[in-house]
Amino acid sequence: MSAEKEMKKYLEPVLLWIGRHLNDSQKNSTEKKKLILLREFVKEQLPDENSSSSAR
Amino acid sequence: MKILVLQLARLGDIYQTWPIIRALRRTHGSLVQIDILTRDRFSGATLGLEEVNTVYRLDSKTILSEVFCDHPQVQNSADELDRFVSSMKANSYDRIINLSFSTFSSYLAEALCTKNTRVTGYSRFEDGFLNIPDEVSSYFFAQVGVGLSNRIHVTDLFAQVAEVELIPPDYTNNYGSPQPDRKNQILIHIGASAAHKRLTPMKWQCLISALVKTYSGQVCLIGASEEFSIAEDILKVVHDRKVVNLVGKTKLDEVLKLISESELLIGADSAPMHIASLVQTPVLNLSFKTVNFWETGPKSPTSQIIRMTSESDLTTSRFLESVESILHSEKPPTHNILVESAVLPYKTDEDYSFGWEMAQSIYMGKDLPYVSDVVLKQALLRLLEANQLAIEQVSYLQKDSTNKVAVSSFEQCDLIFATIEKLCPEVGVLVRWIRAEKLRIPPGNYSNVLTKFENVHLALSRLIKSYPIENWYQLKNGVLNDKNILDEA
Repeated sequence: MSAEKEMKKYLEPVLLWIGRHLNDSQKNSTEKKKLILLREFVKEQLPDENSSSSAR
Repeated sequence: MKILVLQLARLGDIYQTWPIIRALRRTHGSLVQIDILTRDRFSGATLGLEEVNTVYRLDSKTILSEVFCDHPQVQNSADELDRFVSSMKANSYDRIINLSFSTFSSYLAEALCTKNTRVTGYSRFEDGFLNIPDEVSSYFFAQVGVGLSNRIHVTDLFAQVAEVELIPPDYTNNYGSPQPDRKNQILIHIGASAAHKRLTPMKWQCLISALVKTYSGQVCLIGASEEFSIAEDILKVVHDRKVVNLVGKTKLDEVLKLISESELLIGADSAPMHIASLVQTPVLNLSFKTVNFWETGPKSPTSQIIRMTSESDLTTSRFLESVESILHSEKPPTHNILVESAVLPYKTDEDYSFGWEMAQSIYMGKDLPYVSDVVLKQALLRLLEANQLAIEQVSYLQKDSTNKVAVSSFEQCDLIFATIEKLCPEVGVLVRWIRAEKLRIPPGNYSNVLTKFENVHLALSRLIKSYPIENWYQLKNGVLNDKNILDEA
């Protein structure tokens, strides 16, 4: 498995997990802010998302 | 005073940030604390940057260690990232200069703010919406990127976001001492961060074989370890004792030293080229049109850029002539783009660009560009009409906020704008300007937000109405009917 596929294999479920928990009404805004920050951090680790030009 | 510079992009962007850090130090003096935050993976690009107090590293491996396993603990990663943010926030920065222009960096900038922090560059409003506080970042958001109209270098845009004015010594950290002697040595960076930026091994074989026949010095191949196979392919054909393969064998600080000692660097738009700008080593930049040389080209004086649609555009004779002209300060081949100074725009015979002229008019107060093209006139008229529609919807919504037809129509105007841009890309500069200005409107009460939307659209109307549009309408009904592609669409 290529490094890119390996990365996606682990990180895509993380984004799904975060998405589910952001919809959880039990979570307060501070917890949700932490998850949003992690979500965006994870997105930039994914292949093709981490160059400055694509970020722009 | 404490300043944090956020640079979370790759090696090239970090090297392009060096002049900004130096200018900040020169401007604010030694008592100010200037820190930089980079991703751990690329933090090597800060080695040698003496003007910074502390280099902070965002360590992806540590933060994500709990998710790269069969039983991921995502909450632990969120907590790890939060601990990092809290420790950085404890520094209580007075200023955060975000030079990353990415979504994550905008959230991070907001998370690192205390009540006294001033941010330039992307951030977030309290409600999570993107906050583009300054005009330069707004320009960056709307107009910078491959295929767009921008002709301002990224380093110069970084400087404006940081509110500093660059001078040539900010690039070189040489405020008066003589330049060191250079070796009779040319470096060739055979790779680049993306395949579309680099030549094929076969092309390199031709160019390097020709170069070693005419150049008496040493030719060193440099590159990252993952580019080693490219070097091997090249050296299957190139057999000359003058060629030394250093690909995958050098650390970043060693590359910096090598470049500073060489009389020329040849290569694509990549980190070594940006290093060369910092040590005044001339560059022959082999640049494909998939890269915007205006934004990320070389900055060392006497450098040249050869612009190519495909590598077949680059003849061996043009390549050799370019090398000769740089080494011997001779007249460069026709159409090569020249670097006269780090702080001056490139000297080029690049064609007139309506988009760039319009961008200068919108953002820099220059006169509006002349419009002669029929399709462009039609596109501007269609934009004006769609814009009028948007203004009307705002007025309906000001009277009745529950008017769903007006809400829907207002949203449709954005789609019409996008369609006009697709049919006539030259007006994209206006469409992107309006889109960015609307995005910049901060949260507020309904009426105020509507008024701000209206003001943005009124500004576009005023701009287009500065042209003699009545004449254009007459043309539309007469001479131009047979070319009315925008009406048909």
